[in-house]
Amino acid sequence: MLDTLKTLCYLSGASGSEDEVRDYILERVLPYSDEIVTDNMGNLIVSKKGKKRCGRKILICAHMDEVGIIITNIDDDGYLRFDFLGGVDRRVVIGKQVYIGKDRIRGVIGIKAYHHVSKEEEKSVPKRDELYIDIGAKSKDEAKELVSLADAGVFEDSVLEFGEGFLKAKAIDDRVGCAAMIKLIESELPCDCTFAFTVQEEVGTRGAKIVSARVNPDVAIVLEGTTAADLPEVPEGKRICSLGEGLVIPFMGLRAERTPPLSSAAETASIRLRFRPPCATSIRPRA
Amino acid sequence: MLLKDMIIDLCGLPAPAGFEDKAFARAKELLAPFVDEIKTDALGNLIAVKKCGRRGAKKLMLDAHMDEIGLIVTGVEKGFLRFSSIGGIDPRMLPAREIKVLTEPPLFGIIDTFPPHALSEEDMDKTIDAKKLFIDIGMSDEEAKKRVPLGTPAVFAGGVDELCENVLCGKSLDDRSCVAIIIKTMEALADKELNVDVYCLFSTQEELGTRGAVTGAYGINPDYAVALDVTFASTPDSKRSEVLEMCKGAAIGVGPNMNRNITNALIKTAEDNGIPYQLEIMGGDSGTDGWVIQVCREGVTTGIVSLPIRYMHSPVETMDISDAETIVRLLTEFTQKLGEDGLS
Repeated sequence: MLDTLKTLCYLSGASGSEDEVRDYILERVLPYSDEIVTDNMGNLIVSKKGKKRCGRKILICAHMDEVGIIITNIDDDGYLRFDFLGGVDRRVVIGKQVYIGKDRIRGVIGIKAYHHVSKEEEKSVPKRDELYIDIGAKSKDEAKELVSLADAGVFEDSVLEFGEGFLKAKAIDDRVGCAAMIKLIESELPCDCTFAFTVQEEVGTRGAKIVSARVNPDVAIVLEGTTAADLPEVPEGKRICSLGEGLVIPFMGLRAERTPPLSSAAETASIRLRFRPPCATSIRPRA
Repeated sequence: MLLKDMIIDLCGLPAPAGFEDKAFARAKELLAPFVDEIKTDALGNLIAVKKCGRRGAKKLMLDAHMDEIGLIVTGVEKGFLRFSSIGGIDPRMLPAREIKVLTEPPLFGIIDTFPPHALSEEDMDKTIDAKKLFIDIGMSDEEAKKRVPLGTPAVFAGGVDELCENVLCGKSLDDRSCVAIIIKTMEALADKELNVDVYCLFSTQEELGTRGAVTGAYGINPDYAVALDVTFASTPDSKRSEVLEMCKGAAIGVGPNMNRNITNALIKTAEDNGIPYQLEIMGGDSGTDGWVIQVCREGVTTGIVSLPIRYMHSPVETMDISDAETIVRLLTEFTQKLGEDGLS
């Protein structure tokens, strides 16, 4: 499953441009599925029969898309302007590389040399419309040969293992869910299940909305990456979740009666659980 | 080796100020075929000479610094590394930055960042204080303390590669691109008759205040020096008055830090040979090794030639290879033109 996850993380799939991810997953699950549908938004819905019929319809869900950028303008000098797809902290994009469009055109988000930055400027973060991407093009025409308006881009894509069993990659949110579902589909299931690999979660869980209308499940389980702030400068009470402490079952924001069966299943399988309080947020990025 | 490949090769090495040994070793290897002697001094400078064979020949020194900006580990807390910077780094370049921690073998690390889900809009308008950042190396406290001694240096992960044809992008183009330019110049001069002894100074600790150049130039005691460094190329967020342009050729420095006679000779060499150049006017400190070289001992006739790059001191410094080539041509022609009396 680690190899699957690494492959999935490397693929480009900014919200609305999930094709690469969907094509890969489709190829992987095809031999193990009983029915596959790609709907008109690009959600991939896979049905698989289990050992027995289950009285209730079960849907397991994970999203294929990741946060990224979309090109909104090309300057006369050949620099690209962009907007974010999904919730992105502007502070982490400075000095980063992006890969744009199907041809994976490489660009960098630069800011002027530190030597020219005043003490005041240093304290503030450039606004989104002040940021730009340099693809090395010398003019608008040169840039237009490589990139088109509305092309989507993704962030630095190196995938590597480090430290004591850690993985670093973009798009772990939520390719980790996709990898788990591929693994499930490849396994023998105790009962019939439907799996949905959804689109556009990062821009407002839009794919899942139409999936649930189509599948009309009785029970849905959503697999997601979640927030861990287990960092030295973060006080204990604000860490939300921590790495290495087991999978996370949120205890708020769900109807309470839905969690006990998951908890008892975990107990049976000796899986460590962590119950997640909701995180306070005013910007509403989606996991 | 092509100039482009040499820049990629040298910039890929980790060599923050004070820890330049890897850059030294590789530069020595690349330069050795074109010079008579290579030595070092107590600050770790690389000092090489190509003798012209004349007794009492004048000395020309070509200088570029080997060191790059970096980080240094000052503490280990809960397995995370606390750090300070080596040289000037914009704190806005740090969050979520990939880092190579220079243990043996090196460790991958990433500078931590608070998840956006738990931040307010106002939080995201403010720069994170670098003092609150840590390098996450994915280790327990015990393991981290065992593996990473205090004082371990670190650099931005990654090296340099081609952004598009002829445009290079990555870390430490400042100033290892100019180290490569000097090596290629020495290669071009290898079989040429010269009237002067040519010294190369690949200096250390420039980023901490041109410290290597102080002792390096003193030891060499040159008559003439050309200091090579990177300068600012325009970007959409920079003031036009503060920057030069990429792809417009070698930047020849003009101002009090540069002796007028050598500056004029560099300009004339460019004009005579049709080498593209631009003038960089500097009222005071050039911010290069040239600042201390000029006032070394009883004074060294000093010129400054610069390579325009974008996003200086970032992991995405960007240059055009054509500019670097103009500097190799300029230095090669300039050195060959020097007579027995030096600048006539």
